[in-house]
Amino acid sequence: MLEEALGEITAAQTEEELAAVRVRYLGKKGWLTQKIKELKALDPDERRSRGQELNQLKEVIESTINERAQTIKMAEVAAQISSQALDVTLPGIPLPVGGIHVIQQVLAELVETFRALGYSVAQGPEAESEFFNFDALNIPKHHPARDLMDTFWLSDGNLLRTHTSPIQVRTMASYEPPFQIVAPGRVFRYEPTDATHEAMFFQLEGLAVGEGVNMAHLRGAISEMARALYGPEARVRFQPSYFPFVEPGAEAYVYWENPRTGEGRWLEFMGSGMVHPEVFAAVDRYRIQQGLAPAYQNVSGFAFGMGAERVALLRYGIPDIRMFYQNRLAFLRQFRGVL
Amino acid sequence: MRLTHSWLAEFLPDLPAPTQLLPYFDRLGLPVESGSVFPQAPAGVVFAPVLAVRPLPGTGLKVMDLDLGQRQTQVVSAAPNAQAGVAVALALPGTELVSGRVVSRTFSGQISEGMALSPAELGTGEYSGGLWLLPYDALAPGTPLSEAWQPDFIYDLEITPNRGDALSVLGVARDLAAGLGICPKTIEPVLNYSHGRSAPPVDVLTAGCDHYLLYRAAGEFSRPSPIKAQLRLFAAGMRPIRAGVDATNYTMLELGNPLHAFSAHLLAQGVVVREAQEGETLKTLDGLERNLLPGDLLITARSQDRTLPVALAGIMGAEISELGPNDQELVLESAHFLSEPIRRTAHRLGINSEAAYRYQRGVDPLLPPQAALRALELLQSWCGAQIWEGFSQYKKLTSPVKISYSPEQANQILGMTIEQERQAQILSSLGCGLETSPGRWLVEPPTYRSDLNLPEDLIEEVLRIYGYDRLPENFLQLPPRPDLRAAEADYRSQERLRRTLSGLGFNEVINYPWISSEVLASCRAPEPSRFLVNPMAQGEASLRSALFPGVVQNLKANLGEAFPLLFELGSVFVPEEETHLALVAPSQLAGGGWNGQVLEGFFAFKGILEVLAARAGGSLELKPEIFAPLHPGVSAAIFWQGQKVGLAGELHPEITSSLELDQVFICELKLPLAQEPPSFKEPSRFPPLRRDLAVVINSDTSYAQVEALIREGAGPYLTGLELFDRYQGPPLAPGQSNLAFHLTFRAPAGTLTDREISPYIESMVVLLAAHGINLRGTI
Repeated sequence: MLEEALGEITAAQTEEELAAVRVRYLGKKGWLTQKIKELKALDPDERRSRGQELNQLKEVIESTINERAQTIKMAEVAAQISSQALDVTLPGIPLPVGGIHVIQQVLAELVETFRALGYSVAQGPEAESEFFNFDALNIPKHHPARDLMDTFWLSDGNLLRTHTSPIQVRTMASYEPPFQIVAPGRVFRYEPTDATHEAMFFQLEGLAVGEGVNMAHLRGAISEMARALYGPEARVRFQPSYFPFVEPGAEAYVYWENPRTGEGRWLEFMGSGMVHPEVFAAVDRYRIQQGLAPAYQNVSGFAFGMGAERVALLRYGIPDIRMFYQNRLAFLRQFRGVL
Repeated sequence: MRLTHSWLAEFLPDLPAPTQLLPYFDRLGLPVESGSVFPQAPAGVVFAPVLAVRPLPGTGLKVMDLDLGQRQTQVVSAAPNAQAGVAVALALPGTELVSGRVVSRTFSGQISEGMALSPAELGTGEYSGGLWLLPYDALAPGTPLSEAWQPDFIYDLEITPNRGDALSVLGVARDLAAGLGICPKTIEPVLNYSHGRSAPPVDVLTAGCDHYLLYRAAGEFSRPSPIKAQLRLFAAGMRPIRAGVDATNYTMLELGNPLHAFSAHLLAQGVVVREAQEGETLKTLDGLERNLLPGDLLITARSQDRTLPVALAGIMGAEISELGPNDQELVLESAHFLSEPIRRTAHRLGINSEAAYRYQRGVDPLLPPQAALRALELLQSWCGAQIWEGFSQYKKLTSPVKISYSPEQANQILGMTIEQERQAQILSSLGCGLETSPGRWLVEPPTYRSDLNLPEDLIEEVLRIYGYDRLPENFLQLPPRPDLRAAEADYRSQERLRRTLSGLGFNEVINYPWISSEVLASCRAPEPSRFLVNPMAQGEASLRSALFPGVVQNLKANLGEAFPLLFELGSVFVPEEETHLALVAPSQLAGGGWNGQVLEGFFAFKGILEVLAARAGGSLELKPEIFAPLHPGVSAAIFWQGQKVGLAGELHPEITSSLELDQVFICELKLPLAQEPPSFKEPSRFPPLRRDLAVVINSDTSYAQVEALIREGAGPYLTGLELFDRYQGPPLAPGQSNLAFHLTFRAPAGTLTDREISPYIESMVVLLAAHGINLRGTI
């Protein structure tokens, strides 16, 4: 009988089959239960020996069923797991990949560098008045420097700012020194476009004003910027230049090696200089007009401005500046390696 | 400005070779845009005087008999200026030119033994006249042209607008001399004067002219200029014309003072320099009739009781007074005009002549006599001109500029120490007069440096010669400015928006602020209200009144790309300048791969807006409102923290179909979005109680109304509300929807029981019922 039972237990392939075997032997009407019930009819001695025999048999059957149950359970889990196997090499569900415009990435990087040096960020309008864009920056009407910045004029007499420098004036008009700010922004030039000229581009303007601010400080700030962009060993050259709103004026050049050809050359990097006394004077006149106290009589300052496109052009080897604002994803999506 | 090494070397005999010299220009702030070799005359090109010219019948060509010294030869030429009495550059047969190998050819039976060359064929420059004409006796006939045409080096310098003084060979030489620490040579003109006649009398009636000189000369002005002079004019980018004109241009390039040679016959009765009157006109020598305004400076010729304009002073001569090929007598003008009126007039008329360019940037007011004598010397030497000693002059002396200068202050501004002796020596080397007393100097800049007016200007000069690159690096320490940092808030929030949107799969685009009115109109954007006077492209004169029309164009251009979800953050003009954010996306935002799962449609797009709101810590609500650009059934106003900030919805099907686009969803809102800093709330440690609720609504009830009623009625413990099902269809009546919610209740201070929640549920049900919304069942 035991052999028969064990055979049936081993033959059970599912929990249900095993449960049926259990019922057949151990259930209320099961074979073993019946046999145990029948013990009552036997004499005490026989009952005891037969009882022990049946109990042993019951234990064996029960433990065998339990073992079998364990085995079946494991087999089912294994089968389930194996049925859930995926080809993990199949592609994932397509999700959109976004990105910040490459020029905004560059600007954010520049701004971050100057923030670490203690600068705050300032912004200003793109449609600017002639006063803030030119007059207050020592560029009166008919000044030849205006030829360098061909202007988009608006029918209301205003203009699209030709540089971010009006933000210098606006900041000084509202805040007293000492301070240091950077101002990222879009600027516009009425110029024919080609591979190296765009009618719209981004600049980063910087201004530091306080007592005792000098040109060596300017050189320090610009060199630090160059090192942030072009590595700790970046070489920066300083040479005279002219911007009407600074005096002395300087152009910073950085030595750049083309990563592809290994050829090196000096590149114009940043226009800069010490804030022109005329600019301070114009700011104070404006402050007085606005009912504010003049605040720029006994201070000095430096200012600088640079283009963001050039940084990206060089870094990524982009051949044509016009690509930035054609807004082709095939272009823009190449530059999204920044989280 | 372009000039040659050999010309500079006339002023600076000890000049280093070009390769060594190049860095000095940069250091002095006269950066070299390009430096290039000006090659010598090609081998095989010889100097050939023209003996005679005869027409080649029936061809329009001419045969020129040329003198080659040992022999004569002939060439056939089509050039209109082929003439006897001059010489030409002849490429002998076998000469290799850029255009190919020169061979002997036969035209109508006449052999052409080589080719008479134009400047373009020689690679020297553009020239409209035809052949390059040379003086008849410049070289021995048949001599290789390379004897008079040596290789040279051209510097193309970028002269900044403040450095009018450096727009000449002399000016550059002066600066180089100071930079190199050498002495420039002074060149004194040598002249033989004639006596008896004199220049026309001069009256100057305007303050715009403070120095005016006239000389009279007679000679063969139509001769070609010497080879060397013509080559230098070509190298400078100018076109040789004839010696009488070339001498003035040559002198201007050399010394910096524009000169004008008038045909003498018009000026016999005298010259008046005056301002134009209303209504006057002048035909300039470029053939254009110019309308004049008061304030324009004119050179006029006396004619009985009138004065007839013969030149726009300092800008351009009149056609009638131009020195023509037949003029044997000229009046030479050498003058100084103030920058301001020249700028005004030249700008208004759009004339950018070499003369106007220089006067606008400042010419030395004391230069006219020197310039006149130099030009006369050239005329005498090039044209054999007779020069009359009697000249006319007007001169108004201006008092010299004296600048109070402190060498100590210079060092403070520079942040370095340059010894006082060195500062003084630098200023002297630049031509400044110095009166030194301890601590404070009086500096008188030379008259050619009109850009030096302030101590700062002199500080730049000192550093320029001392060496900008010797400035040390130092680091500024300024106190922090919390007020300025606080003012950064908008910028920081823009940076965060960019990061969030790019994380959500949107790509940033940047469009021009100008756009065509048609594009705005085709997207039913607000009417533009600000306009460019001078747009780049015709029709793109409007400043954008919204961002989305541009971004929709971008979407159309990027349809071939996977998931062209786009955003732009930028300025709009309505009419005041605002910063907007626009999102534009096709219907499908994600999915669609091999397993078919897709995220698409309006509610997918709205989901993006909700994530944006959640990330920005604000509440966003869309309320139905019809906007012209949007599908009337899928059109909403965006409310941010209760404030209306923009619109969102599906682009109107009429717009998408006219643009040949499928469904497009857009959103545009005004920045900055109000920010409310998050504040901490203790999360409940007690288990939540969940109830589900299902209601049936009619088509005139919006989801938002139901949600608002539930929130109103559900009491203080409602912490979560989720619509988990919306059903329409049988057994519901048409237009009805079944909305099923999971509600979560949670108390901060204890475990909620059914008994505590039941009254709220009941009151919520009553409230809903009062609005005609009935329960379908609670589970």
